[in-house]
Amino acid sequence: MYGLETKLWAEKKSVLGKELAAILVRLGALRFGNFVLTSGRTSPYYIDLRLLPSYPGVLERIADMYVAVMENEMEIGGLKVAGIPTAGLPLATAVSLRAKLPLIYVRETPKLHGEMKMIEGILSKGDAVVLIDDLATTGGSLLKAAEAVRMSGGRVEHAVVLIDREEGGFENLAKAGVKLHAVSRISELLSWLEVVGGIPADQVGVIREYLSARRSGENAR
Amino acid sequence: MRDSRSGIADILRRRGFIRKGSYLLHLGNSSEFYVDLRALPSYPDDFDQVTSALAELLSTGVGDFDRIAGIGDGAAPLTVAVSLKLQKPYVIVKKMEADNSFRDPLLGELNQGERVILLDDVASTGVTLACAASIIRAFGARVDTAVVLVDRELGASALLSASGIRLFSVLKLSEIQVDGEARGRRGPPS
Repeated sequence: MYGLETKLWAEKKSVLGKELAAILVRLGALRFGNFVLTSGRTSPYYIDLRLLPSYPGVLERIADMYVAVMENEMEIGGLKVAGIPTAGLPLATAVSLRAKLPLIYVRETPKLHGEMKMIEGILSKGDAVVLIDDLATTGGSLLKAAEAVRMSGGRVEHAVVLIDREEGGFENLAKAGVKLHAVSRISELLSWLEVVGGIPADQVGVIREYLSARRSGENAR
Repeated sequence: MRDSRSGIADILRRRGFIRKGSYLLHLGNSSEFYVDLRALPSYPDDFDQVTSALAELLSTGVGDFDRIAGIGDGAAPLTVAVSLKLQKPYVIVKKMEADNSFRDPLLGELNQGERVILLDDVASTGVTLACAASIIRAFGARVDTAVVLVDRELGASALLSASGIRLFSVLKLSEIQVDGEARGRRGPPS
Protein backbone atom coordinates (compact mmCIF):
# COMPACT_ATOMS: atom_id res chain seq x y z
CA MET A 1 0.00 0.00 0.00
CA TYR A 2 2.69 2.42 1.05
CA GLY A 3 4.65 1.76 -2.10
CA LEU A 4 1.66 2.35 -4.35
CA GLU A 5 0.69 5.66 -2.76
CA THR A 6 4.25 6.89 -2.94
CA LYS A 7 4.46 5.98 -6.62
CA LEU A 8 1.12 7.60 -7.37
CA TRP A 9 2.22 10.84 -5.72
CA ALA A 10 5.49 10.77 -7.66
CA GLU A 11 3.48 10.61 -10.89
CA LYS A 12 1.08 13.36 -9.80
CA LYS A 13 4.00 15.53 -8.77
CA SER A 14 5.69 15.03 -12.11
CA VAL A 15 2.52 16.31 -13.81
CA LEU A 16 2.39 19.29 -11.41
CA GLY A 17 5.98 20.11 -12.39
CA LYS A 18 5.02 20.11 -16.07
CA GLU A 19 1.98 22.28 -15.42
CA LEU A 20 4.23 24.66 -13.49
CA ALA A 21 6.71 24.77 -16.38
CA ALA A 22 3.89 25.66 -18.77
CA ILE A 23 2.66 28.40 -16.40
CA LEU A 24 6.15 29.90 -16.15
CA VAL A 25 6.53 29.97 -19.92
CA ARG A 26 3.09 31.54 -20.31
CA LEU A 27 3.90 34.27 -17.75
CA GLY A 28 7.29 34.88 -19.36
CA ALA A 29 8.77 34.04 -15.96
CA LEU A 30 11.49 31.79 -17.31
CA ARG A 31 14.22 33.49 -19.30
CA PHE A 32 17.20 31.91 -20.96
CA GLY A 33 20.60 33.42 -21.62
CA ASN A 34 23.60 34.13 -19.46
CA PHE A 35 22.72 35.61 -16.07
CA VAL A 36 25.02 36.65 -13.26
CA LEU A 37 23.43 35.85 -9.91
CA THR A 38 23.87 37.94 -6.74
CA SER A 39 26.29 35.24 -5.55
CA GLY A 40 28.52 35.98 -8.56
CA ARG A 41 27.84 32.61 -10.20
CA THR A 42 26.43 32.48 -13.69
CA SER A 43 23.22 30.76 -14.63
CA PRO A 44 21.79 29.83 -18.06
CA TYR A 45 18.27 30.64 -16.89
CA TYR A 46 16.51 33.20 -14.74
CA ILE A 47 13.18 32.89 -12.94
CA ASP A 48 11.21 36.11 -12.55
CA LEU A 49 7.88 35.77 -10.76
CA ARG A 50 7.05 39.49 -10.74
CA LEU A 51 4.01 39.00 -12.96
CA LEU A 52 2.44 36.48 -10.58
CA PRO A 53 0.55 39.13 -8.52
CA SER A 54 -1.20 40.21 -11.72
CA TYR A 55 -2.87 36.80 -12.16
CA PRO A 56 -4.88 35.83 -9.06
CA GLY A 57 -6.13 32.61 -10.70
CA VAL A 58 -2.57 31.49 -11.36
CA LEU A 59 -1.51 32.42 -7.82
CA GLU A 60 -4.35 30.29 -6.49
CA ARG A 61 -3.33 27.34 -8.69
CA ILE A 62 0.27 27.64 -7.54
CA ALA A 63 -0.85 27.79 -3.89
CA ASP A 64 -2.73 24.53 -4.48
CA MET A 65 0.50 22.97 -5.74
CA TYR A 66 2.23 23.88 -2.47
CA VAL A 67 -0.71 22.44 -0.52
CA ALA A 68 -0.53 19.19 -2.52
CA VAL A 69 3.17 18.87 -1.64
CA MET A 70 2.39 19.52 2.03
CA GLU A 71 -0.47 16.99 2.10
CA ASN A 72 1.64 14.27 0.53
CA GLU A 73 5.07 14.86 2.01
CA MET A 74 4.45 15.87 5.63
CA GLU A 75 1.90 15.78 8.42
CA ILE A 76 -0.16 18.86 7.56
CA GLY A 77 -2.56 18.85 10.53
CA GLY A 78 -1.69 21.47 13.15
CA LEU A 79 0.98 23.15 11.02
CA LYS A 80 1.53 26.89 10.95
CA VAL A 81 2.60 28.43 7.66
CA ALA A 82 5.55 30.84 7.81
CA GLY A 83 6.14 33.30 4.98
CA ILE A 84 9.55 34.68 4.15
CA PRO A 85 9.42 38.29 2.92
CA THR A 86 9.35 39.70 0.47
CA ALA A 87 8.41 37.26 -2.27
CA GLY A 88 7.53 34.32 -0.01
CA LEU A 89 4.94 36.15 2.07
CA PRO A 90 2.20 36.51 -0.57
CA LEU A 91 2.69 32.85 -1.53
CA ALA A 92 2.54 31.78 2.12
CA THR A 93 -0.65 33.82 2.53
CA ALA A 94 -2.27 32.09 -0.45
CA VAL A 95 -1.15 28.70 0.92
CA SER A 96 -2.56 29.46 4.37
CA LEU A 97 -5.89 30.51 2.82
CA ARG A 98 -6.17 27.41 0.61
CA ALA A 99 -5.15 25.03 3.44
CA LYS A 100 -6.99 26.99 6.17
CA LEU A 101 -3.83 27.04 8.31
CA PRO A 102 -2.62 29.92 10.51
CA LEU A 103 -0.08 32.28 8.94
CA ILE A 104 2.96 33.79 10.60
CA TYR A 105 5.88 35.59 8.99
CA VAL A 106 9.49 36.30 9.58
CA ARG A 107 10.33 39.96 9.96
CA GLU A 108 12.58 41.31 7.27
CA THR A 109 14.20 43.96 9.43
CA PRO A 110 14.31 44.21 13.21
CA LYS A 111 11.50 46.41 14.41
CA LEU A 112 12.80 49.64 15.92
CA HIS A 113 9.56 50.84 17.40
CA GLY A 114 7.09 48.90 19.49
CA GLU A 115 8.15 45.47 20.76
CA MET A 116 11.27 43.74 19.48
CA LYS A 117 10.46 40.47 17.81
CA MET A 118 11.57 38.35 14.90
CA ILE A 119 8.23 36.77 14.08
CA GLU A 120 4.86 38.38 13.37
CA GLY A 121 1.79 36.37 14.28
CA ILE A 122 0.90 33.85 16.94
CA LEU A 123 3.67 31.35 17.62
CA SER A 124 3.67 29.26 20.78
CA LYS A 125 6.46 27.10 22.11
CA GLY A 126 6.49 23.75 20.34
CA ASP A 127 4.31 24.81 17.38
CA ALA A 128 5.17 22.93 14.16
CA VAL A 129 5.97 25.43 11.40
CA VAL A 130 6.46 24.93 7.67
CA LEU A 131 8.53 27.57 5.88
CA ILE A 132 7.26 28.86 2.53
CA ASP A 133 9.36 30.70 -0.04
CA ASP A 134 9.27 31.08 -3.81
CA LEU A 135 12.67 29.68 -4.76
CA ALA A 136 15.53 27.90 -3.04
CA THR A 137 19.08 28.49 -4.27
CA THR A 138 21.68 27.88 -1.57
CA GLY A 139 19.02 27.93 1.12
CA GLY A 140 20.46 30.94 2.95
CA SER A 141 17.24 32.84 3.58
CA LEU A 142 15.38 29.65 4.54
CA LEU A 143 18.12 28.83 7.06
CA LYS A 144 17.87 32.29 8.59
CA ALA A 145 14.10 31.95 8.80
CA ALA A 146 14.35 28.50 10.41
CA GLU A 147 16.67 29.97 13.00
CA ALA A 148 14.32 32.88 13.72
CA VAL A 149 11.34 30.54 14.15
CA ARG A 150 13.31 28.17 16.38
CA MET A 151 14.60 31.03 18.54
CA SER A 152 10.97 32.05 19.01
CA GLY A 153 10.06 28.54 20.22
CA GLY A 154 8.70 26.97 17.02
CA ARG A 155 9.71 23.61 15.53
CA VAL A 156 10.83 23.61 11.89
CA GLU A 157 11.24 20.33 10.02
CA HIS A 158 10.02 21.27 6.55
CA ALA A 159 10.37 24.04 3.98
CA VAL A 160 8.45 24.18 0.70
CA VAL A 161 9.39 26.17 -2.38
CA LEU A 162 7.99 26.32 -5.88
CA ILE A 163 11.33 25.58 -7.54
CA ASP A 164 14.52 24.15 -6.10
CA ARG A 165 17.29 25.71 -8.16
CA GLU A 166 19.60 22.92 -6.97
CA GLU A 167 22.51 25.09 -5.87
CA GLY A 168 23.04 23.34 -2.53
CA GLY A 169 19.88 24.43 -0.70
CA PHE A 170 18.61 20.90 -0.12
CA GLU A 171 21.92 19.79 1.41
CA ASN A 172 22.48 22.95 3.47
CA LEU A 173 18.99 22.77 4.95
CA ALA A 174 19.29 19.02 5.64
CA LYS A 175 22.36 19.77 7.79
CA ALA A 176 20.18 22.07 9.89
CA GLY A 177 17.44 19.44 10.21
CA VAL A 178 15.11 21.03 7.65
CA LYS A 179 13.83 18.97 4.72
CA LEU A 180 13.47 21.00 1.53
CA HIS A 181 10.42 20.15 -0.59
CA ALA A 182 9.80 21.65 -4.01
CA VAL A 183 6.91 21.50 -6.44
CA SER A 184 9.63 20.97 -9.03
CA ARG A 185 13.39 20.83 -9.27
CA ILE A 186 14.85 23.09 -11.93
CA SER A 187 16.56 20.16 -13.73
CA GLU A 188 13.25 18.27 -14.03
CA LEU A 189 11.48 21.38 -15.22
CA LEU A 190 14.09 22.26 -17.85
CA SER A 191 14.43 18.63 -19.01
CA TRP A 192 10.74 18.44 -19.77
CA LEU A 193 10.72 21.82 -21.50
CA GLU A 194 13.65 20.71 -23.64
CA VAL A 195 11.81 17.54 -24.68
CA VAL A 196 8.57 19.33 -25.57
CA GLY A 197 10.30 22.19 -27.40
CA GLY A 198 9.63 24.83 -24.74
CA ILE A 199 13.14 26.24 -24.91
CA PRO A 200 14.08 28.70 -27.70
CA ALA A 201 16.20 27.00 -30.38
CA ASP A 202 19.20 29.27 -29.82
CA GLN A 203 19.23 28.43 -26.10
CA VAL A 204 18.84 24.64 -26.29
CA GLY A 205 22.61 24.11 -26.40
CA VAL A 206 23.40 26.06 -23.25
CA ILE A 207 20.54 24.40 -21.36
CA ARG A 208 21.64 20.90 -22.49
CA GLU A 209 25.16 21.62 -21.33
CA TYR A 210 23.85 22.85 -17.99
CA LEU A 211 21.64 19.78 -17.54
CA SER A 212 24.36 17.29 -18.41
CA ALA A 213 26.74 18.97 -15.95
CA ARG A 214 23.95 18.68 -13.37
CA ARG A 215 23.43 14.99 -14.08
CA SER A 216 27.10 14.09 -13.82
CA GLY A 217 27.44 16.11 -10.62
CA GLU A 218 24.33 14.65 -9.09
CA ASN A 219 24.45 11.37 -7.23
CA ALA A 220 23.42 11.91 -3.66
CA ARG A 221 19.78 12.51 -4.53
CA MET B 1 -22.38 45.93 6.67
CA ARG B 2 -23.39 47.12 10.15
CA ASP B 3 -23.41 43.56 11.55
CA SER B 4 -20.13 42.66 9.89
CA ARG B 5 -18.53 45.84 11.28
CA SER B 6 -19.53 45.15 14.85
CA GLY B 7 -18.34 41.55 14.39
CA ILE B 8 -14.98 42.85 13.25
CA ALA B 9 -14.74 45.32 16.12
CA ASP B 10 -15.41 42.38 18.41
CA ILE B 11 -12.61 40.32 16.83
CA LEU B 12 -10.12 43.18 17.22
CA ARG B 13 -10.97 43.62 20.90
CA ARG B 14 -11.15 39.91 21.68
CA ARG B 15 -7.81 39.11 20.07
CA GLY B 16 -6.08 41.97 21.85
CA PHE B 17 -5.10 43.74 18.62
CA ILE B 18 -6.06 47.08 20.13
CA ARG B 19 -4.25 47.71 23.35
CA LYS B 20 -4.30 50.54 25.76
CA GLY B 21 -1.07 52.24 26.72
CA SER B 22 1.39 54.79 25.51
CA TYR B 23 3.69 53.59 22.78
CA LEU B 24 6.34 55.22 20.70
CA LEU B 25 4.99 55.09 17.19
CA HIS B 26 6.66 55.24 13.82
CA LEU B 27 6.99 58.99 13.71
CA GLY B 28 7.63 59.56 17.36
CA ASN B 29 4.18 60.69 18.43
CA SER B 30 2.64 58.72 21.23
CA SER B 31 -0.87 57.52 21.31
CA GLU B 32 -3.13 56.13 23.96
CA PHE B 33 -4.09 53.12 21.86
CA TYR B 34 -1.79 50.75 20.10
CA VAL B 35 -3.25 49.00 17.09
CA ASP B 36 -1.35 45.99 15.76
CA LEU B 37 -3.21 43.78 13.33
CA ARG B 38 -0.29 41.71 12.12
CA ALA B 39 -1.32 38.61 14.07
CA LEU B 40 -4.73 38.57 12.38
CA PRO B 41 -3.75 36.02 9.66
CA SER B 42 -2.83 33.61 12.47
CA TYR B 43 -6.58 33.19 13.05
CA PRO B 44 -7.92 31.83 9.73
CA ASP B 45 -11.64 32.30 10.50
CA ASP B 46 -11.23 35.84 11.82
CA PHE B 47 -8.92 36.67 8.94
CA ASP B 48 -11.55 35.45 6.49
CA GLN B 49 -14.25 37.59 8.13
CA VAL B 50 -12.11 40.72 8.11
CA THR B 51 -10.88 40.30 4.53
CA SER B 52 -14.47 39.64 3.40
CA ALA B 53 -15.46 43.05 4.81
CA LEU B 54 -12.54 44.71 3.03
CA ALA B 55 -13.45 42.92 -0.21
CA GLU B 56 -17.04 44.09 0.15
CA LEU B 57 -15.95 47.71 0.66
CA LEU B 58 -13.68 47.49 -2.39
CA SER B 59 -16.30 45.88 -4.60
CA THR B 60 -19.16 48.24 -3.70
CA GLY B 61 -17.75 51.52 -2.40
CA VAL B 62 -14.83 52.73 -4.50
CA GLY B 63 -15.84 52.37 -8.16
CA ASP B 64 -14.09 50.36 -10.87
CA PHE B 65 -10.39 49.76 -10.41
CA ASP B 66 -7.59 47.71 -11.94
CA ARG B 67 -5.32 46.74 -9.07
CA ILE B 68 -4.93 46.66 -5.29
CA ALA B 69 -1.68 48.06 -3.86
CA GLY B 70 -0.77 46.79 -0.39
CA ILE B 71 1.73 48.72 1.72
CA GLY B 72 4.70 46.67 2.93
CA ASP B 73 4.87 43.20 4.46
CA GLY B 74 2.30 44.20 7.09
CA ALA B 75 -0.42 44.61 4.48
CA ALA B 76 0.70 41.76 2.21
CA PRO B 77 -1.56 39.08 3.76
CA LEU B 78 -4.63 41.35 3.63
CA THR B 79 -3.81 42.35 0.07
CA VAL B 80 -3.39 38.79 -1.19
CA ALA B 81 -6.57 37.63 0.55
CA VAL B 82 -8.63 40.47 -0.95
CA SER B 83 -7.01 39.98 -4.36
CA LEU B 84 -8.00 36.30 -4.35
CA LYS B 85 -11.54 37.04 -3.14
CA LEU B 86 -12.13 39.64 -5.87
CA GLN B 87 -9.84 37.99 -8.46
CA LYS B 88 -8.14 41.36 -8.93
CA PRO B 89 -4.39 41.88 -9.53
CA TYR B 90 -2.30 43.25 -6.69
CA VAL B 91 1.12 44.79 -6.12
CA ILE B 92 3.05 45.28 -2.88
CA VAL B 93 4.72 48.67 -2.44
CA LYS B 94 7.67 48.00 -0.18
CA LYS B 95 8.31 50.21 2.81
CA MET B 96 11.47 52.28 2.82
CA GLU B 97 12.90 50.36 5.79
CA ALA B 98 13.19 47.18 3.73
CA ASP B 99 16.76 46.56 2.58
CA ASN B 100 15.92 46.27 -1.07
CA SER B 101 13.38 49.06 -1.32
CA PHE B 102 15.84 51.32 -3.08
CA ARG B 103 16.59 48.74 -5.73
CA ASP B 104 13.00 47.96 -6.56
CA PRO B 105 10.12 49.48 -4.61
CA LEU B 106 7.55 47.05 -6.02
CA LEU B 107 6.76 43.37 -5.62
CA GLY B 108 4.70 42.86 -8.73
CA GLU B 109 4.03 45.30 -11.56
CA LEU B 110 2.16 48.52 -12.25
CA ASN B 111 0.87 49.53 -15.66
CA GLN B 112 0.67 53.01 -17.08
CA GLY B 113 -2.74 54.63 -16.52
CA GLU B 114 -4.34 51.88 -14.46
CA ARG B 115 -6.43 52.84 -11.43
CA VAL B 116 -4.91 51.49 -8.22
CA ILE B 117 -6.55 51.33 -4.78
CA LEU B 118 -4.20 51.64 -1.82
CA LEU B 119 -4.74 49.07 0.94
CA ASP B 120 -3.30 49.00 4.44
CA ASP B 121 -4.27 47.59 7.80
CA VAL B 122 -4.15 50.85 9.76
CA ALA B 123 -4.05 54.56 8.88
CA SER B 124 -2.48 56.89 11.44
CA THR B 125 -1.04 60.16 10.14
CA GLY B 126 -1.34 59.04 6.53
CA VAL B 127 2.35 59.64 5.75
CA THR B 128 2.99 56.01 4.82
CA LEU B 129 -0.02 55.92 2.50
CA ALA B 130 0.91 59.26 0.91
CA CYS B 131 4.48 58.03 0.26
CA ALA B 132 3.17 54.86 -1.35
CA ALA B 133 0.82 56.94 -3.50
CA SER B 134 3.70 59.02 -4.84
CA ILE B 135 5.67 55.87 -5.69
CA ILE B 136 2.66 54.48 -7.54
CA ARG B 137 2.14 57.74 -9.40
CA ALA B 138 5.82 57.80 -10.34
CA PHE B 139 5.14 54.53 -12.19
CA GLY B 140 2.36 56.21 -14.15
CA ALA B 141 -0.60 54.62 -12.37
CA ARG B 142 -3.54 56.58 -10.92
CA VAL B 143 -4.42 56.70 -7.20
CA ASP B 144 -7.41 58.53 -5.77
CA THR B 145 -8.58 56.09 -3.08
CA ALA B 146 -7.11 54.40 -0.02
CA VAL B 147 -8.84 51.70 2.01
CA VAL B 148 -7.80 50.65 5.51
CA LEU B 149 -9.25 48.33 8.08
CA VAL B 150 -8.86 50.77 10.99
CA ASP B 151 -8.53 54.56 10.78
CA ARG B 152 -6.88 55.75 13.97
CA GLU B 153 -8.10 59.28 13.17
CA LEU B 154 -4.73 60.96 13.60
CA GLY B 155 -4.95 63.13 10.53
CA ALA B 156 -4.66 60.63 7.67
CA SER B 157 -7.91 61.70 6.09
CA ALA B 158 -6.85 65.36 5.81
CA LEU B 159 -3.29 64.64 4.68
CA LEU B 160 -4.44 62.22 1.99
CA SER B 161 -7.15 64.59 0.88
CA ALA B 162 -4.43 67.17 0.18
CA SER B 163 -2.84 64.57 -2.12
CA GLY B 164 -6.12 64.01 -3.91
CA ILE B 165 -6.85 60.74 -2.14
CA ARG B 166 -10.05 59.79 -0.39
CA LEU B 167 -9.68 57.54 2.65
CA PHE B 168 -12.20 54.78 3.40
CA SER B 169 -12.08 52.56 6.46
CA VAL B 170 -14.03 49.55 7.64
CA LEU B 171 -13.82 50.95 11.17
CA LYS B 172 -12.69 54.12 12.87
CA LEU B 173 -10.86 53.67 16.17
CA SER B 174 -13.54 55.76 17.94
CA GLU B 175 -16.19 53.29 16.75
CA ILE B 176 -14.33 50.36 18.31
CA GLN B 177 -14.05 52.03 21.70
CA VAL B 178 -17.22 51.25 23.57
CA ASP B 179 -15.83 52.13 26.97
CA GLY B 180 -12.47 52.26 28.73
CA GLU B 181 -12.45 48.59 29.54
CA ALA B 182 -13.62 47.38 26.18
CA ARG B 183 -10.84 49.21 24.39
CA GLY B 184 -8.05 47.36 26.17
CA ARG B 185 -7.18 43.73 26.28
CA ARG B 186 -9.81 41.69 28.04
CA GLY B 187 -7.76 38.57 28.47
CA PRO B 188 -5.28 36.36 26.69
CA PRO B 189 -6.18 35.60 23.07
CA SER B 190 -7.93 32.25 22.89
